Amino acid sequence: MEWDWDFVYQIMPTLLAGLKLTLIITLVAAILAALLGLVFAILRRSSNPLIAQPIGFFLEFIRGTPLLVQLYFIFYVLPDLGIVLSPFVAGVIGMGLHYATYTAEVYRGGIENVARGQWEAARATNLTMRQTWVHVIIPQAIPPMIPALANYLIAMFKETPLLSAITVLELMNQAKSVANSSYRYIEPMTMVGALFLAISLISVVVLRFLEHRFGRPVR
Amino acid sequence: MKKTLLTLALMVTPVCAMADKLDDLKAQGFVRIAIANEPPFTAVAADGTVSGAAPDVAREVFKRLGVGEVVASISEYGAMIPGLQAHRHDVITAGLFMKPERCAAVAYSEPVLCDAESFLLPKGNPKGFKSFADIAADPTAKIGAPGGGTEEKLALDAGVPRDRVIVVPDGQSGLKMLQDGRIDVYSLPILSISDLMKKAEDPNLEMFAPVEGAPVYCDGAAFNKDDTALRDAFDVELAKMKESRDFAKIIEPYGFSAAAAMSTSRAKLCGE
Amino acid sequence: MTDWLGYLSLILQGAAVTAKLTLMGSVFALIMAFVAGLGRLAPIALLRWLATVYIEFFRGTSVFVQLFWVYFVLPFAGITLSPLMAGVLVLGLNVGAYGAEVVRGAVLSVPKDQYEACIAVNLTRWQRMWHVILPQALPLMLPTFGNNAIELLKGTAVVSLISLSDMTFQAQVVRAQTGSTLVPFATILVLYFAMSLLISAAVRAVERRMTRGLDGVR
Repeated sequence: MEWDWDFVYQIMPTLLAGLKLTLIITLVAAILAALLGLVFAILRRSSNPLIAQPIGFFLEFIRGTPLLVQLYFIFYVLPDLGIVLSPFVAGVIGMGLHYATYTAEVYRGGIENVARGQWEAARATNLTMRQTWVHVIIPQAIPPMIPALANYLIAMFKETPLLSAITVLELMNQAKSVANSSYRYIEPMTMVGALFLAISLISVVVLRFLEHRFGRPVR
Repeated sequence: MKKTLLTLALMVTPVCAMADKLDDLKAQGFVRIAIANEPPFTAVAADGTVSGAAPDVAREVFKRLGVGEVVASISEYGAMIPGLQAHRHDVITAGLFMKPERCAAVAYSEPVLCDAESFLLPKGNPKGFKSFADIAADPTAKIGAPGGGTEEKLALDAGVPRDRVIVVPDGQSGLKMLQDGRIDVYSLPILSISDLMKKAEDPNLEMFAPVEGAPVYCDGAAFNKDDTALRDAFDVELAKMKESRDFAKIIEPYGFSAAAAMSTSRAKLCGE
Repeated sequence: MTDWLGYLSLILQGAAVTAKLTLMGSVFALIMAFVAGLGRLAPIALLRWLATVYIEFFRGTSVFVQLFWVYFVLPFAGITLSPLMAGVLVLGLNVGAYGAEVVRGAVLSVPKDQYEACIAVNLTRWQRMWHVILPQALPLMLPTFGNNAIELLKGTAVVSLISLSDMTFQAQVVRAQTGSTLVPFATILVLYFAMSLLISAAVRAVERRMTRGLDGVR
């Protein structure tokens, strides 16, 4: 079977429509992961073991099981409990939750890197717990974490093809639907790979810039 | 390191010339078939054994041809023909209905299983869908269909826009999505929908069949275009089985009509 | 009457495939991690360049896409891998690309005076790497390798989409036969979690063994 450029031109608009949805879903899920991860990280540090331990177990569990299976679970099992989510929302929640457990780790590292003296100073000046977090700890902890967080953004982008399994019409699913009617996999699959690589390479350049600007990634 | 490379190299099976495919199959003792796990066309039992009308027919034909075993891999409909072209399997036996554009892509045997299309709907058919055109006319209606399946194509051809044709990975997912209100109608052949309804035992569902304007389709075993000799050998045995009623004995317990398959031909269905 | 025992054994068969994939994939990934990680530090520019291309390529494209490509497109180039080999190849190459950065980082983090000492006692490049640098760098790599192995375990679920009968795939089969979604998916989630706990425990055990002789070095 020969490579057919005409076919490539013909399918490009469909693939680009899929790429657009892929990018949107990545961004929305990444914002969710960034926010949820912060909540998890703070709860994980709670002095109440009844909060810290279940959260710790929950994070371990999500990190230890495949995103694909979690997506199936959210999409097909939750409706039994009366929660019916659209494929888009189910995908955003699945990816956001999964990666929140990773960003929580990044935040934990970042928060622990804020010098102890800062906590003591906050207490000495009679700041409330909330004020300490919002005005002292988080503003100092976040900048060094930005490269690591951006790394997970790229990772999330690459996981989006899994959403085709729960009927989201993202890039991979568009490619499959093209293949379904043309019986050709060579061009759609190769172009999907090329598009992913192109976006990732651009992101890597941006990431290098972020690393340069905000320092070494937190591990 | 060297060992791994060697193992890797050994796993690479060269695509050999398909001059005498049947002899190759006889020598290796098995034939690789693609199925879909869509009862009663194709099914996988609790112990992993493959059954269903299409694989059962193929198993019998290949036995008569001297190939003792079938090894099945489950695949999405959309991946079957690309998989055949990529020599992932030797033949598709999955209720992949004959249509002219598919006939152009693969070498079909004579017809095996025939069935008409149906809709799975909420009880009472609240939106009154009787044809794919009805679904196209309702701007809020979503239809579920297998990706790369006949129903997806029928819906698109009837004018249902791409974003309202939801590609459903398997029957159980389709049923679930209908129950959860994610789709308004799920389309599969009559016998597949009957099987799903029997398992679901859900009083809130009903079937509408046959779908108006959609003809009765028949599938055949689909071979790679390079393997027409194998296909011809398959056809000879299939014809003998049809004559001796052995064919009917295999497919009728599943609910398929042998008479329907015997009353038509590949030439007719492919529009040759 | 649903034959749950029969279905459970089907899922356990899938678990065996998942374990096999994880194991073979991890071994392959480990090899690739060292080849590419050390390749990036090689004195020959061509090797460095090749290693970089490999790492960026596999970190830049999706596992799912690569798997489809290897499975459906590569056969046209005359290379037909079995689904299992396609899975091991793609997962191993991917996780290996991440592992390569870990190897590089750990080797670079060995203090400079160690290198200088080796040069002073006239060790060859190989002796230096093999006897001095790697034994110190290895313990640093282990925890991250453990995480990578868990990532690989999770990645194996994707092979169900190229019809390899792993645990996720078998859960889908059970679902199609029984009509129950909750039971098979809940079962495999627990099994995946158990496997990932097993990997962490194993890595910790190896870590303890390896660091035993290194007390006092740092």
